[in-house]
Amino acid sequence: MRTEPPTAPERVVFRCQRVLGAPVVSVRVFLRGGMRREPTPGLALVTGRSLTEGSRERDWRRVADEAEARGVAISGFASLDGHGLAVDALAREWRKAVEWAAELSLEPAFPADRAAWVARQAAGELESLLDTPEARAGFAFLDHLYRPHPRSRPLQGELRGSPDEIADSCGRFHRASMARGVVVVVAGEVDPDEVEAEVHRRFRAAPERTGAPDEEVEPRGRPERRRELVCGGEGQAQVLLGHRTLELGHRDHPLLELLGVILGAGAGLDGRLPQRIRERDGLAYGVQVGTVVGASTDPGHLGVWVATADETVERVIDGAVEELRRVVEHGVLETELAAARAWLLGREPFGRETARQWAPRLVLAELLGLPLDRPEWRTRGWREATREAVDDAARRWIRPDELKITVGRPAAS
Amino acid sequence: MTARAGFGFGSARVRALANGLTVAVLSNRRAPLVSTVVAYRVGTRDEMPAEGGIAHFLEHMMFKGTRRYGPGEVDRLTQALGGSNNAYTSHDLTAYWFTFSSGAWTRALAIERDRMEALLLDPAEIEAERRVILEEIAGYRNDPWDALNEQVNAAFFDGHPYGRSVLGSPETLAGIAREQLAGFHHRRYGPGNAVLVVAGDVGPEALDEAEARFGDLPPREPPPRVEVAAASRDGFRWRRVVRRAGETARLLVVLPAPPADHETAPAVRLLATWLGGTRGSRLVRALVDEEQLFQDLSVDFGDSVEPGYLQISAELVPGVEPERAEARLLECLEAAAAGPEPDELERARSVLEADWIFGHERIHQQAQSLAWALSFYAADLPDRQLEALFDLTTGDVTRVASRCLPPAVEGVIGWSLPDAEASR
Repeated sequence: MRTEPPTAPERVVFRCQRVLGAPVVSVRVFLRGGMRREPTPGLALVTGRSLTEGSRERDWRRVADEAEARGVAISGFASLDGHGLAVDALAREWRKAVEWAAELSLEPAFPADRAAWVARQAAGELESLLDTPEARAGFAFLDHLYRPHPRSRPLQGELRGSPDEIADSCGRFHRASMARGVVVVVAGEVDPDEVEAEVHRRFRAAPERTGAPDEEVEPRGRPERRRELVCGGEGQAQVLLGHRTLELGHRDHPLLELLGVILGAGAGLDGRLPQRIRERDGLAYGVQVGTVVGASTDPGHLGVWVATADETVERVIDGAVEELRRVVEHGVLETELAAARAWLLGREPFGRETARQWAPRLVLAELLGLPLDRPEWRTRGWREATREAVDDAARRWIRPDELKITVGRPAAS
Repeated sequence: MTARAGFGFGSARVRALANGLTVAVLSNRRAPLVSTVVAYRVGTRDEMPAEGGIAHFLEHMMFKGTRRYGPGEVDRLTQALGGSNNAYTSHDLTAYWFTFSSGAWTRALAIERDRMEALLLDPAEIEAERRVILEEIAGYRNDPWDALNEQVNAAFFDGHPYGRSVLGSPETLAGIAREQLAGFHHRRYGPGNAVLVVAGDVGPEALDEAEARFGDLPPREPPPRVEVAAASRDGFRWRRVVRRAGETARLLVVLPAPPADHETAPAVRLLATWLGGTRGSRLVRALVDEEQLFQDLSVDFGDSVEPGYLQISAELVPGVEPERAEARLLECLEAAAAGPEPDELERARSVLEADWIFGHERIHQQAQSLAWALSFYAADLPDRQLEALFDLTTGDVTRVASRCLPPAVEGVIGWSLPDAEASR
């Protein structure tokens, strides 16, 4: 496997990863829009999804029918940092995948009736998500940690307005995002030179980069330490606790990844928190732990999620806080560190098995300017970490006295 | 490789050991990873009603201590070796899997052997795990789709073991004693009731490795599988299940369908894709994108050993009347019984082929499919069914549509309605 450096014109940054033997080719077109830059919550997602609703050449029915006739899956997406298109095709269809990715991203039509429908679907999707206690509590926790940063709100938003207004907003947002530069990524069993020539040809109409620097919104979070809300369901409460930590490119990131595995982000039910809360005390089915959840250019967070009986909420909180305090005050064991290191190193190839895993990784690498696509870069920090360094990182980044606690109570609580 | 070649499941090397264990090796050297799956032909269908959930309970206990691996040690070892593991219980099957780097995969065999012959079932661990499963049940009941699915399944498979919850209920769970778990394990977890699959960066020598590690286990003839009568469809008329929760209206329609190995199964799978597998499929186009009654909709064909179901699940667009949406869905299903147009069929065929490839890209996905196929049928069943897809005509799909869709059959209509609407 090899990663090609970007060589296409700067208006389009191109990256290609050859994945030997992959039966699928994955194309991603990524525009620097996303929630971070949307003027109205939900606009990035509606814009991204509306890219499949038609182009100058074809309406939404033709887009769907022609893709399906070739077994090509096309979807529009959005994230914190951007929106765009994902096109996954059988390897033999790679040219078509590139052609359609270019057509739909460079010449989207944003028909008013379709944009309005996509907005309505997104609002319905959010309502559906909020029917799940876990999702409702999860959104509240992100708000607790990140408000007013865009990470504090759901991707779906609730875009309102007339069909024409929604379509116009999508068009404007898309053009503004395009002006910040287009990232095109292709992964699969392909010839990188051939693909690069095709991408260059298909994306030659991409506009010049003119985007102005963005104003960043700082994450602050809600001031209160503990927040309780009713999240529905019966008998079971959702407990989330944590605080912001650091960005993906931070030099302590690998140390916190190791610490995360020691606390419970690793295999099965191993780790201090699942062992304590689930295996020893039998208080929950699922215990999820992370120390750099969602880290990108913005800080990720320490996050512990537990669904437990309403009456055992305090035991779960006490247990989790105690374990976090213990790791800060007493550090980790050599054996724990060795196991965590081995797990991260051993798991690393799992994320490079398929073209569809490679594609978003290449996009993220470009976005952050980090060599995330080079396994040796990812693994070096884990290999070099000493117990003292991990203990120092725990003292710097795990702050039991600053934990924010969100408790989602069942309806009948 | 061409898409039509599938993943070569038929090329898997299969060996039946003298003690009854079936071992298969599927080489795929694209990544330096090896997945192992041990699948036991036991599931919820093998439980007595009063011990509902025991198969799943036992699956949990398989991680809670054996003679050589104490409680939690399986996960600790998995972590130390940089691997992953998990397990699942279905109505037909219980399966355990590991994925390790090429150099470490044999450790999975050592663990699986110990779990097969020397499970401890420590009473304190049993009690802790019982509480864990109660929380798992609570989580399912609070998930709107899981809760609806459980109620609709119970109505559809009325009296049939497929209608029982895999997790059991708090009441049945409370009654399961250590002796029952031990007996269930002894009867159902012998080598003669199991399949071991090794897939990925290994060669045929893995067969010898597996035989060396499992071949000396004494045979334990499994008891005959609990015979279950097919769910009675005589006089079955539409049944209705309504629950009231949340804010989004959800509709689940379940119709009878043949088992996974039935000669018509490939056509039914294509029927499901044509109806609701894609954006251009018949129901999605009409009811989601054109009429905008549902915000999403999908159709699934369940792979089950006994006759199973075709399932249509959909979420209503806020503000749309459930009665209107349901009536239109049933109208569309009846119209679809006339079969697809040729261009619709070709699109569905391409999508199904691609979905199959997308769904088997990873080593562990291939290992899981092979283990399932070998447990009940033959290694090449998935490839044969994929191959059959290319020979199906509109006539074939029309025939199964006319048999599997209303008005020829009726099933269960389940609604999860928002509280306010339900009280109108």
